[in-house]
Amino acid sequence: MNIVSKLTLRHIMGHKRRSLLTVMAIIVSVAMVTAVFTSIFSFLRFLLNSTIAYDGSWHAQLQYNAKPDTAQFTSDEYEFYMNSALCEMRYDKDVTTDKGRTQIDVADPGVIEMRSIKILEGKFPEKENELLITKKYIERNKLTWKLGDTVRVYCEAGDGNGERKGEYREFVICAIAEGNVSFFDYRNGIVAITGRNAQTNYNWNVNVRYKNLDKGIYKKVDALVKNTGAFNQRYNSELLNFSGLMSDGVKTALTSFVAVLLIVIVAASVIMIYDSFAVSYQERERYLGMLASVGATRRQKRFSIYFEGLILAAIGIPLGILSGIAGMAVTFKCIEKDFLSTVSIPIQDTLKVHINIWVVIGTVLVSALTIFISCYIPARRASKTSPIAAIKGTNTVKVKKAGKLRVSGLTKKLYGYEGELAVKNFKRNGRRSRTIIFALVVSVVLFLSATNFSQIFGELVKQSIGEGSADFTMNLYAKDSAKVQEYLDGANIDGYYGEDIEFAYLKDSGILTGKAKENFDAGKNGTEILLYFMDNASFDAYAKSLGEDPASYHVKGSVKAILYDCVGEYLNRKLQKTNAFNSDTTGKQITVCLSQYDEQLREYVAGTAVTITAGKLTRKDYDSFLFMLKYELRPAFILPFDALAEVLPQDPVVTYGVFARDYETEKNKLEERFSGEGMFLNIQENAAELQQLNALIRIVKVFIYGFITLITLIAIINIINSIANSMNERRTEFAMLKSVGVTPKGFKKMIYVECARYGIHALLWSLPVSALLHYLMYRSLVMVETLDIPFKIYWVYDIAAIVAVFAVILLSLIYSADKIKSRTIIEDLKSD
Amino acid sequence: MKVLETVDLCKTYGSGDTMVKALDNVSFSVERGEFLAIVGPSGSGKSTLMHILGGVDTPTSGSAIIDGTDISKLDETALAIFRRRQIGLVYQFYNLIPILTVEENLTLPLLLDGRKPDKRQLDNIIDRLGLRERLTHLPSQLSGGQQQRVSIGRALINNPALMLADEPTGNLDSANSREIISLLRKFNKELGQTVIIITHDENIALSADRLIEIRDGRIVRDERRA
Repeated sequence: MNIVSKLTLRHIMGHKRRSLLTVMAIIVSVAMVTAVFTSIFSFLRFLLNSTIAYDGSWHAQLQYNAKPDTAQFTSDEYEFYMNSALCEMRYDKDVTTDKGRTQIDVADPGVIEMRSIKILEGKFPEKENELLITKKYIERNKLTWKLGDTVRVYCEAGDGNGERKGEYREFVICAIAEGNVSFFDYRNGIVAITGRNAQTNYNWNVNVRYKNLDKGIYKKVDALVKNTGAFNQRYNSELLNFSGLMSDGVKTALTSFVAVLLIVIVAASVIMIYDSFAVSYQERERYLGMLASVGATRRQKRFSIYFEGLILAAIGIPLGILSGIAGMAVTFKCIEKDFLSTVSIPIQDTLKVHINIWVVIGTVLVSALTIFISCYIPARRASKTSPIAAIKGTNTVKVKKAGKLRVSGLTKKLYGYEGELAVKNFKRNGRRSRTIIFALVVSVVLFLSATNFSQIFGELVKQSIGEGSADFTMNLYAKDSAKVQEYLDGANIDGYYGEDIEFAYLKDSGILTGKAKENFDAGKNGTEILLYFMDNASFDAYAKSLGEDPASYHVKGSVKAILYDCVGEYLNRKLQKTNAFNSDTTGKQITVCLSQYDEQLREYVAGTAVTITAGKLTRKDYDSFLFMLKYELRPAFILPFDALAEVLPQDPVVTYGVFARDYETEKNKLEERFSGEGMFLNIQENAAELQQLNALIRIVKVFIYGFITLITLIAIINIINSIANSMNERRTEFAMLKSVGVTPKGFKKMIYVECARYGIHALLWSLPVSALLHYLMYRSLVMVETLDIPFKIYWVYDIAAIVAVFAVILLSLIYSADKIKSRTIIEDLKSD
Repeated sequence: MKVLETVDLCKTYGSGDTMVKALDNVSFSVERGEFLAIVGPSGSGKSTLMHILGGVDTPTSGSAIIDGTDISKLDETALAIFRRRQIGLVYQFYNLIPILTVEENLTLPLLLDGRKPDKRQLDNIIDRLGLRERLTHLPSQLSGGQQQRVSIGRALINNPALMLADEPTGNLDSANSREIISLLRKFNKELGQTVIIITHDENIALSADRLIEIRDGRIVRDERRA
C-alpha cells in the first residue's frame, strides 16, 4: 500500500464518527437505489409468476377456421399444443343455469403444462370418451361425480351449417382438475384429441411457446401466421409485458419513471455525501498542504479523496444493498395483504423479493457514480491545495471583506451585540452555510412534494371511480327488472338506479351539425351514438329537471328520447364540447340502427333500424356509475326502461346500482330472495373495489413516506454533522468571546439567532419552490384526467415542515454548543 | 560550483495603489556546501524568498535556478517532484503529519516517490538525529526539539541539493535551539549539505558562513565570514 492510501486509511480510522456518518449516508442512498430496482424487478416477477399461474406460459395463440395440419409446426424454436371447442355440455338437458352450462374442449396433453392446469387426481384423457372435468364444476352443481365414473351428459354443438344439434353422450371421468386458472373461466372440461384427424365444428387454436423469448417473437408469429394460414393471432400480452417485452409506450413510461426516481435519489444523495467529503477535505487540508510541501503531486492529493470514497463505498455499498433488500422484504411483508387485494387475479404466489444479478450490478454502478460525483469537487479542491495555505494555517472559515459582514441596524436593535455576532458568523460561513441551507431546502422540497403528490394522487383515485358510485351493482335481464325493483322499493336501502347502455348508428347526417357532421362517415356506419336507458323513476326525475313532461316519453307504441346534444374532442388535453344536433331537431323522427356484431366480418355493423322521436335537446350532465356524460365524446339518446322492449330485439342485461349503508347484509338478503328463481343475477361489490383502491393508495403512501423518511434522515445527519463541524472550528473564537465576558445567556442568544437565520433562509427558498412544484404536479396530473379537483394547499404539511426545520437546526446547534461548553476556556484558547 | 542562482527575482502582491513589492529584483548565488543565513525584519520579504526557493510559491518575474533547473519554468507536477527530490524544507512549526509515525514522517518524500528508503542512509540520519528510540511514536508524543529533528531528517532523506530552514528555532527554547543549529552545522560540515537558514536570531546569523540581509524586498547586505 502506498503512503497516500495508508495516510487516508489512518485518517478514516482517526475520524470514526464522521466516516461512520458518511458510510451511513452511502448506505441509505444505496438502499434506496436497491429498493427502486428490486421493487420494480420483484413486482414484475410477481406479476409474471401470477400470470403464468393463472393464464399459463404460452406466448401466442394462432387461430384457424379448421384444424391445421400439425406437420406445419415442426420447428425446434417452439413447443405448442392445439385445442378447439367441442361442444356445450350440461349435466342434464334441462339445465339452464350458467353454472351448469359449460364448454368442453378437445386438446393436446401440452395444455396441462402451458395453461398451468393442476390435475388433482387421474391422468390426462387419452381416448375420445375420456373426460377431464374441473372440481369447480362438480362442486358448484352439487354432482357426485368421481374419478372413474361413467357420466351421461347432454352435449350441444353447431353442425357447421348454423344449426345447433344436441345429444346425450357418455364419458368416463379420467381426471379431476383444479378449476382456478383462466383456461377454465368458461370451460370446465377437456377431452383428448384422439388421433390427428379429430374434427370439431369450431375454430382451432395452436398455442405456441418459444424457447427463447425476445423481441423477435412478433415477427416469428407473423411469419407462422402467414405460412400456416391462420386467420388471427393473439398474444399472452400480460406475460410478454411482465417479461420485459412491453410496448414502447409502456417501456418509455416505466423507464422515465425509474429515471426520475433515480435522478431524485442520486441528486439528494450527492448533496449529502458531497457535504461529508467536503468536510473531510477541510479536516485534511492542512496535512494535504504539508504533503504538498514535501512534494506530493496534484494526482496524489486528488487520489487521497478518491481513495477515501473507494474505502467508504466498499463498506457502504454492500451494506446498502443488503439493507435495501432487507428493507424491501419488510416492506413487502407489510404491504402484502394490501397489494394482493389490488391484484384481481387469483393468487398462487406471495410477494417476494427477487434479486437479479443485473439489479445488483445496476445498483453498484449507480451508487459508484453517486459517490464519484460526490467526491469530484472535494478531490479537485484537494488537488489544488497549496502548501502555503496549509503552512500558514488559513484553512478555517474564510473571512470576507469587512463590508460584506455589515449587519443592519435593525438586527442590532433586535438582538443586541450577541445577535450581531451571530449574523456576522452566518455571513462569514459563506459556502458552508449555503450547503447547510441547500440540504435543508432539498429535504423540505422533497417532503412537501411527496406529501402533495400523495394527496393529489389520493383524490384523483377517489374521483376517478366516482364518489357517488353504488355500494353494489348487479346485472340481470330486463324482463326480471320489475320484480327486482319491487323488492328494492321495500328493502332497507338508501336508493338505487338502473341503467343500460346500447350502441347504435345514426345513418342520416341531416340533423347533425358542426363537429358531429364532420365525424359522419357516409361510407361506413354513419355516426356512432349511445342509447342510454334509465330506470323509469330516475328518467322521470331527469326529464322533470329539464322541464319536460315525463309522461310523453312513456307512450306505448312510440319511442321518444331526450337528446344529449354534445360531441366532444380532446384539444390540448382539455375536453372541448360542441353541439351535435341542429336546434330544430326536436319533434323529428330519427332512424337509428342498432350496433350488431358481424361474425363474418368480425366487426360491428349497423343492424336493426328503429325509429325514435327526438324530444328535448339538452347538455345537462347526468352521472351515474356506468355512465358519465361529462366525459362522453359521442351524442346520446336518453330513454326510460319502458322503451327497452320497443327498441331492442332481444331482452338485454341491465345494470342496477344499489346504495345501502349495510351493503353486505342487503346484498346477501337480495341474493337469498332471488336464488331459488332460476333467474340470472350477478352481483358485484363496489365497496370492495373502493377498499382495493384505498389499499393501492396506502401502498403508494408506504413507498413515498419510506423514501422521504430515508432522504430526510440523511439530510438531518448531514446538517448536524455540518453544524457540529463548523461550531468545532470556531471553538477558539467562542472561548475568546467567553474570556472577554460574553455570558452563557448571551452565548445562547447568539446560537438561537444563528439558528433562526438558517431556518428562515431555508424556508424562504423551499416553500416557494415546493409551491411551484406542487402546482406543476397538480397541472400535469389533474389536467390529464380532466377531473374537477380544485387546487388545494395542504397547510398542515407546510407547518410540519417549518417546525421540523427549526427543530433540526436547534437540535444540532444545542448538541454542538453542549460539547463546547464541557471544555474549559483555557483548553480551547490553547488548542490552536 | 553554483547550486543556486536567482536572477532579478520579483514578487508583487495586489495591484495599483495597493500593490506591495515583496521581492524587488533579488539576485544572488550560492555555492555547493555553503551555510547561509538570511536575516531581515518582519515583512522584509525573507519568507517570500524562502517559499519561492522552496518551490511552493512562484515569482512574478525573474528566475530561480537550482542545480541547473530553472524552477520558475516547471509545471506544478514537475515542481512537486523536483521539490521532493532536490529540496529539503524545515519549518518553524515542524509541519509533521500527525497521524504518521516518526519513521513514516522521515521517509515521506521517498514514499511519495514510491521508493524504498536506503537502509544505510536512513540509519545514518536516524542515529545522527538521535531518534532511534522514537521511530514508532506519533509527532504528538515528541517534544518540540524532537519534532524539529524529525523535520530536519525528512528534509535530508533525499540528499537534496538545497536545504531550506524557515525560522527552525523560532518555536524552541535556547537549549533546543542550540542543538538544532549544531545539527544543521554538522550535516553541513560532514555531508557537505548546502543549508540556507532564515532567522531572526542574531547568534544563529553570526554562526553562518555567509549572511544576507533583506529589507523592503531588496538585498542590503551580503557578507562572507569564513
